Amino acid sequence: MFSVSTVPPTSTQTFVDDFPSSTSHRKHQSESDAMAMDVDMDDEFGAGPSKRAIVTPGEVITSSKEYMRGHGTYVEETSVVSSVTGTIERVNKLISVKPVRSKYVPEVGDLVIGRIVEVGPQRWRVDANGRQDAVLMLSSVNLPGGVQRRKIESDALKMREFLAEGDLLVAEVQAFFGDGAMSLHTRSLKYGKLRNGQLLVVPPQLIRRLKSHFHHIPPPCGPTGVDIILGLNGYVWVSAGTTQEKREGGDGFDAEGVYSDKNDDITPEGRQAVSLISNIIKLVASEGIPLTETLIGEAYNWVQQQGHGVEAHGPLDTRDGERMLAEVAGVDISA
Amino acid sequence: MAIFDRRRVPAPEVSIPPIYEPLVGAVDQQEAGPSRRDRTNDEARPIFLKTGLINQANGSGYIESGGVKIACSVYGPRPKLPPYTPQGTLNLEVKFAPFASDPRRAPLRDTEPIPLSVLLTQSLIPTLQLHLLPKSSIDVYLLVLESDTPTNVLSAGLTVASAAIADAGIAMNGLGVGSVVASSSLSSSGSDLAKPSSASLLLLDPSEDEEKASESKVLVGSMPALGRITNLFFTGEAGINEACDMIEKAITSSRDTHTVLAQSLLEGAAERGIGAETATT
Repeated sequence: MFSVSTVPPTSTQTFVDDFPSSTSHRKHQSESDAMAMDVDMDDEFGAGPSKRAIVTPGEVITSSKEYMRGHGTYVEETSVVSSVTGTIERVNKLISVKPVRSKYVPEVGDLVIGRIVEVGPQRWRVDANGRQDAVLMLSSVNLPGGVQRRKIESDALKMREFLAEGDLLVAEVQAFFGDGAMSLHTRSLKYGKLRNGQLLVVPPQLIRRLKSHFHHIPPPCGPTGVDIILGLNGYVWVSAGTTQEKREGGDGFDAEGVYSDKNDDITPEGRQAVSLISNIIKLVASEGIPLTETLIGEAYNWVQQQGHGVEAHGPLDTRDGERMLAEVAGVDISA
Repeated sequence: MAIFDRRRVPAPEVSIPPIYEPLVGAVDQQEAGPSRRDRTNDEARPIFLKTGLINQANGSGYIESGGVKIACSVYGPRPKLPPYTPQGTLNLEVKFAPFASDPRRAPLRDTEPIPLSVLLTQSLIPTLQLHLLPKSSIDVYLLVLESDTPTNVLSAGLTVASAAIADAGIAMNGLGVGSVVASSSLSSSGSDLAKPSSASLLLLDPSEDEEKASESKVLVGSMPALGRITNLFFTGEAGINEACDMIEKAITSSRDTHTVLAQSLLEGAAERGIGAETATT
């Protein structure tokens, strides 16, 4: 599993009190000016002790006089100090640290996938991998029978018929509450309850904000293709494909079936295609490679070319996985 | 004197332990001097620390330090049940595996973990930024797989808990690190008792036997990166100067432990493909 090699404790790191305090810092202004010039040359943080791109909590990044603190940092006396383990990101004078791994940090407009955990008065509570459970108000969903229908009392009584505990849905972050919990909405035909597929959980850092988070891999992959929804909260939905019209309210859109609990009949080939795509996503995510539509598509094509058709639906074996990542993503994990 | 218990055989009022003749060929520890053979008095035992071994948890860590082995998992920040709290709450639980010590422990009747949990919570809270997490809780579970003394468990527990919390990506002021220093008198002969402060010997990271033989011990929880103390736990008797020396020594060694901790976090990041080339330096 892992080799146990003990490390004899030695001091190699720099600490706050190893550096001149605020008073002496001011005294050596010329010196810090000289260091500030190095900043432009080396694109490093000259004023502070940290010379690395990755920091641990409590590590001094730079001086708070020259830079502003962003997420993942705080100000301690006159220094900007990291509060998480992660990479330093700098936008002009704003320093932030992006954590290596953390819970999903939502932003308004993000597409997320969530699971209902509680049906409450006029609202659902949704687990969306955030710090707090998200809230989906009854007034921010589309109910069957007309997009702009007024919500009446009988709708509030029937809430569990629309979405019950354990149901999965895709939604958009609408706003935040005072405590940082997110409010969701599903006021689009693209959003709503999910069925005909399987959920994958990957680290939220691996999903970037893309132009579209709905992807369709066309029919050679399964009889109807495979749909992928990349939720920014790290939840990924892989399901049997539908046509664009059916998804977005065009021809053949089943308005009454939006809140259906029943899966459609999916052929064995369709199921194999879903599981093949799922396995590819799991493999890519396990190596910490950000997920994109092109990457998944190319990985699928690679598997097809290797003769592992949809008939070979089991998980890719280790050697195939290594080769696929090396050839498609250019990542060598063999070492 | 007035009431004599006739129904039982009462124990004598004064008792003296039996005195044994020393075994032939056996070296008495006190006679041989408390100095160590395998390491110097200022040397801590090596540490093994690794993060991210428990998949289900949001963050996790595993430490082997001296005679202590602890697995720690962190869940959260996650929504807390009502009532509303403007700050986050830290729930910390220390559990001993039945085989963690000799004699074996009874899982539920064991009362030792409770004060340990309280002390560890105290040491850990200053490292966290709980004001950023309203209505949330952080749950930390420490499973002690092997233990020698409670002090060493606390020290290693603080180190591994900060590693696991940092691994979970929860905002911290700094990494908390524990270290222990014990003080024992140089020899048991009567002449040295006159000046105990100059004649005592400070041992960093004492083993179980060393700690038992010591007169006083101190556990210092600190954030070396910020030069701050989070908790000080002193047991036994020592002079002012000696106590200061002990604390001083503990702080110095915690910087070394901090480096091990920071290094293991960077290695954990490298395993996720971030900063691989910088972490090896």
